Amino acid sequence: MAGLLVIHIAAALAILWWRGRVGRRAFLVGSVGPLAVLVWAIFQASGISAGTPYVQRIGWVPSLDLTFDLRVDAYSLAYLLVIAGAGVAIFIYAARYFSDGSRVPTFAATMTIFAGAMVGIVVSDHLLSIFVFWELTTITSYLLIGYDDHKAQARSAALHAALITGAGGLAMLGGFVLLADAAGSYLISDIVSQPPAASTAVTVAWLLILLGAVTKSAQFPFHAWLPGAMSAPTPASAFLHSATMVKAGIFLVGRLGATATATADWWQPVILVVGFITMVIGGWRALRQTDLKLLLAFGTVSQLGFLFLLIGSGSAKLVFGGLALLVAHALFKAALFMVVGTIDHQAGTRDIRRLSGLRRSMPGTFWTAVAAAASMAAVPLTYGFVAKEAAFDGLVGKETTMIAAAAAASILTVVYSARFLIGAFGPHEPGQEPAGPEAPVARSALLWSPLVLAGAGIVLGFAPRLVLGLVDNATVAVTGVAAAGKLVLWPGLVPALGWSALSLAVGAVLVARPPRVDAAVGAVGTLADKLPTGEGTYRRALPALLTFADRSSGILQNGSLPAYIAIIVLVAVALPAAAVVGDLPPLTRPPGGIALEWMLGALIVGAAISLVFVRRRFAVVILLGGVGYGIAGLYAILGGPDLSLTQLLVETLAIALFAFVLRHLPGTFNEAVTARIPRIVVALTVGSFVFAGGLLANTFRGGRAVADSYLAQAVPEAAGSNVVNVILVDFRGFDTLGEITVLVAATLGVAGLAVPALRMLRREG
Amino acid sequence: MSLAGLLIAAVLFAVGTYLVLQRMLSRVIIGLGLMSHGANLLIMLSGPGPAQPPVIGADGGGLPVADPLPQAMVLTAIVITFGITAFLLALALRSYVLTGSDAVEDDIEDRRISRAKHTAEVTPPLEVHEVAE
Repeated sequence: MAGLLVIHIAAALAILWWRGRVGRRAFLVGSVGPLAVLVWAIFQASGISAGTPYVQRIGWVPSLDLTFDLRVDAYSLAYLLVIAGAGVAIFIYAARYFSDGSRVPTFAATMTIFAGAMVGIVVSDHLLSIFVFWELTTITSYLLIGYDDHKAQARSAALHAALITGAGGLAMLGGFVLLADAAGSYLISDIVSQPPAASTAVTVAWLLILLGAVTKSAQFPFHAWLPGAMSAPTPASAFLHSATMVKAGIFLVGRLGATATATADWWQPVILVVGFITMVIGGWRALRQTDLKLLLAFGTVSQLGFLFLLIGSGSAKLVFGGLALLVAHALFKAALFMVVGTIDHQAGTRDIRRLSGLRRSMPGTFWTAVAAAASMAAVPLTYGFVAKEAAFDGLVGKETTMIAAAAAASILTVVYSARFLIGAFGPHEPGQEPAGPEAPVARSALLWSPLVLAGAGIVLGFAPRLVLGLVDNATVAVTGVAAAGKLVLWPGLVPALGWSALSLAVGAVLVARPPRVDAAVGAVGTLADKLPTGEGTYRRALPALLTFADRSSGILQNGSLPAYIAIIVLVAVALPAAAVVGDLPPLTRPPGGIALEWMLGALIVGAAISLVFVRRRFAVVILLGGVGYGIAGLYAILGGPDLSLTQLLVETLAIALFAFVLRHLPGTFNEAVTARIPRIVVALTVGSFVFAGGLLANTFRGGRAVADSYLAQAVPEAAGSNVVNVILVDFRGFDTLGEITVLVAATLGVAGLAVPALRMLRREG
Repeated sequence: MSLAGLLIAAVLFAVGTYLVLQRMLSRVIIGLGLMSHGANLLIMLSGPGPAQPPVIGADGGGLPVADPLPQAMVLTAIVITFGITAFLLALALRSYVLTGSDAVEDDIEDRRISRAKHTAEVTPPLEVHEVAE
């Protein structure tokens, strides 16, 4: 399983290695990744569907409980098949869609990594590795959307997507940590089997995780990034909008939905409301687009809203319908995006006001679009209809408002599906310059890739059994109960059929009267435009965000070394202080110390404080010596004659060095110290912290087992009576070796720095 | 541990910090040296106070035997500190020879960043079809 991820990375590296020669065939190299996943999933399908998840654990730092846990159950398997199936078709399509260009291989490599990251999300069992893959899709999608970096539209769309999904990802990480903390495990399988008890922390965790999913899956009010993301080259849009990226959020709410519903009673209502609003807004906005791709993008928003509320609800019947619809959506949406790509490729535009005569000149593409759009509109005899029936069936018996809202969105879907077909293949609008294909479509992947996916949408309509087991087992995997749902071409006279028929009928009536519909859409649209939109809010918020970033980095990264050191020092004080403050034990008061200590102390403190005030550099040398020799005296009192001697020796050497260097520098310090007060405050803070820390350490000073064992073993094991020496050269001999190495390195450094400097000084005379 | 020793260490740290926060490299080095003295002293203070050397068979005159472990650590620290001081002094000398000043100036690149004003790239909103009445 981990090997599949490695294959994606290897394919991407291979593309980059041969980027000079590979050209657009890079996508064929990249398709090895999804292809391997597809083959693997098909071979594992029977075992996993039988209820035995495929589990793999790779220890990374096992002692810290850091492991790379992969777990593929039926739910993950459904996503794997969707990702890989759509992936293979789209990669092959892309290899024909692009012309050979110098940047195409890099794009292909990015898309391969993106596909691998998506696989990583659905197979990870560890929350943190989900997060890592999640952010990897954010980064790679940024690169994919912003591929046409000479276009301002693409750059700003890429930034929009990265900011929204990136911020959501960070919120999600916070939620993951809180959730894992409450549940006692980072493994989703553990959290699902033993859910954490309801608490404020868990509520916050669910909210944050929901935020991550809502942003990633482009749900209201964060949906605005997705239509912009269609600035990506069409194959990437097809992949991002159909099978990946936006499905990540849906995957997550589906995976955790049942657990969340059990521990937070607000989860299901929130999911439903968010989903319904997204569904209606997306469908409505799709009606007003003249760019085929933008029309599809808003359609995606609408479909995602439906999938989000179904799969995230945690209720078995809804999840069943949602997963059936997920498969349908991947098939028709990928196909339709590729159809738009083919039209754009051949006709040079995708403006529905200009496209004309495509039905005759591109018959294969036309019928592909018909099949896919029919599935999208849930016309009977398509798999889209079968899936939507299952979804309606799940909603029947819930509140009527819910199913009415779903029906309303379905009506919009019928209308924008028709708008897509008529716009793309019907006549051009009067007053617009007509555009048609400049060359006939070759019988290539431009034709076949979408055709295969759209065809699958029809075949599955007649043979829904092929996906029934998959959807059923996936539902059981996340909700624990079988939905007893049906996937059939003719459901019989059930309420769900009534709702489907109603949606189709009203949709058909609206489609049949385009002028009136357009007028109504225009009238309502004028009103709706007055409402704040997601894009507008983002546009207003962005300058504020940038100003905030400028201000905060201006404060934190101001270029002043003293400021940086002050921040480091204060953080080093604040963190441990914050950890102990609040439950401080009563501190024991240490003995005052003998007279000699106080005398030496007076010498050291006096010399140290004078160091602040002296202006002449040579006075510095003398004062420094005073401190050092004083310390040596203290060591002697504390029972360390070796230390005392070493300190004397080293201090003498250091004074000599200082004297030597200061000789070359100006005789006095001639800087005016500004901002004295803040520096003094920081210094006093550090001093008090050390004092308090010392008292605290002294309170907890226990035995000295290590010292006693060294004392006992010095003579028998090392035949030495000076225990400090024995420790340095025998017990901890290798540490001393390390110390010597440091000294050698320092000596080399000194020689390298000082010798040329002295030579320069001498030359200057 | 004695109160006297702890006070000395605290003062060494405070003065050391104050000097490290200056711009003159030679003062920064002195500050670091003072802080090192303070740290070494703190480690030594974990012992019993006035004590006899940890030498087997030595006559301590009734004092407790000092803890050899902090002594071994501090001995290493003294030597390493010396190495670092020597290195920093060489660095200061080099810097003075090259720039003619002992002071650390603000990083120009950082200062430019801190004064930068980034503006959002405003793109036309996504096209919305105005349906004819």
